[in-house]
Amino acid sequence: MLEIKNLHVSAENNSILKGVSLTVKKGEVHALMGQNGSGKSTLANCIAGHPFYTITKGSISFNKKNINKLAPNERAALGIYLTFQNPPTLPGVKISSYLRTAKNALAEARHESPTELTDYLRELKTTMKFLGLPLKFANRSLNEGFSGGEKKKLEILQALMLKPKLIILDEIDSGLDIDAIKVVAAGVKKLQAQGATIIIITHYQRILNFIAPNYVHILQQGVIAVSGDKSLVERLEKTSFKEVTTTHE
Amino acid sequence: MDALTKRIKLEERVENVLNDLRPALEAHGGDVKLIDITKDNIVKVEFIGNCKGCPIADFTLDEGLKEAIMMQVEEIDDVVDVTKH
Repeated sequence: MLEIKNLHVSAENNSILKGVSLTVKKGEVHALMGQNGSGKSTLANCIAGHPFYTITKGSISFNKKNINKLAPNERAALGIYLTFQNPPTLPGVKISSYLRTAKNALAEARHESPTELTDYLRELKTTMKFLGLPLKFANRSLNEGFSGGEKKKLEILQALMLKPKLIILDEIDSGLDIDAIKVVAAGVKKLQAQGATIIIITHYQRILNFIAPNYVHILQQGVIAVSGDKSLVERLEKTSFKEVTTTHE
Repeated sequence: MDALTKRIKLEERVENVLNDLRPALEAHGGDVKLIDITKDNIVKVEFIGNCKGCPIADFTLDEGLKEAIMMQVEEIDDVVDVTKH
């Protein structure tokens, strides 16, 4: 589904990614870990098409199509979705209107007919209930005055409503209490059950206890230093990034 | 709470939402009446005054009433217009 080959990326003349290769098959869950500044978010942003980064070498393919030059909205239309690490605030933009507009824009880009209002509202209500969000939440402005937990739940609500094929969760668990993590994890599991492929960027083992990854990759100084299974995470928690990346063969 | 009280409460909650929306309709010389809430929680409304026969009554129903009622009253599953326009 996603094939990254020898990806070199720079921003403002600083080289950040120095040859990342990664293959993600449909339905898999990949965890991306690594120290601050190792390039995790850069990689996520490059997949989504953030204009701040320049691909200097290598390629990103999605369903066998090279997407290096596609705009973020074109990538979204293909089914790529990135959650924000720090979701922006948009005062005056109501969640219910925002989600409906986004959903219809995706449908238009895919030459599909828009969702009927009644069906949309029913789906929104059911999904919000599933995430334990009160109905009046839909009437609030995007992230305005939201707690950390509410912001992250909104990211998951969007994913559940927009039904992307590839979901990149950038530190979706940061700053969440254990109850909120469980809700977010339940949302991710639901997405998985709908057939979504997931890349999860995290610093902690906690969320990976709820969403078992098929593969774990550790980024270090712009390259994937180590790849392995879930046992890698357990070793990391006991030791350090440094030890795992230097002793792993 | 028995079924009848529950139902009256539900009607009250829908009426409250309608009351919030009424000033906008009244500004155009129109109004809306709650006709019924069916067993499967579908709200039936009738447009009166200038709203009756208005070419954009559908728009008022969708963008105004439907979303407001469905998103403010948990139980409500749809809102339909029964006006003979």
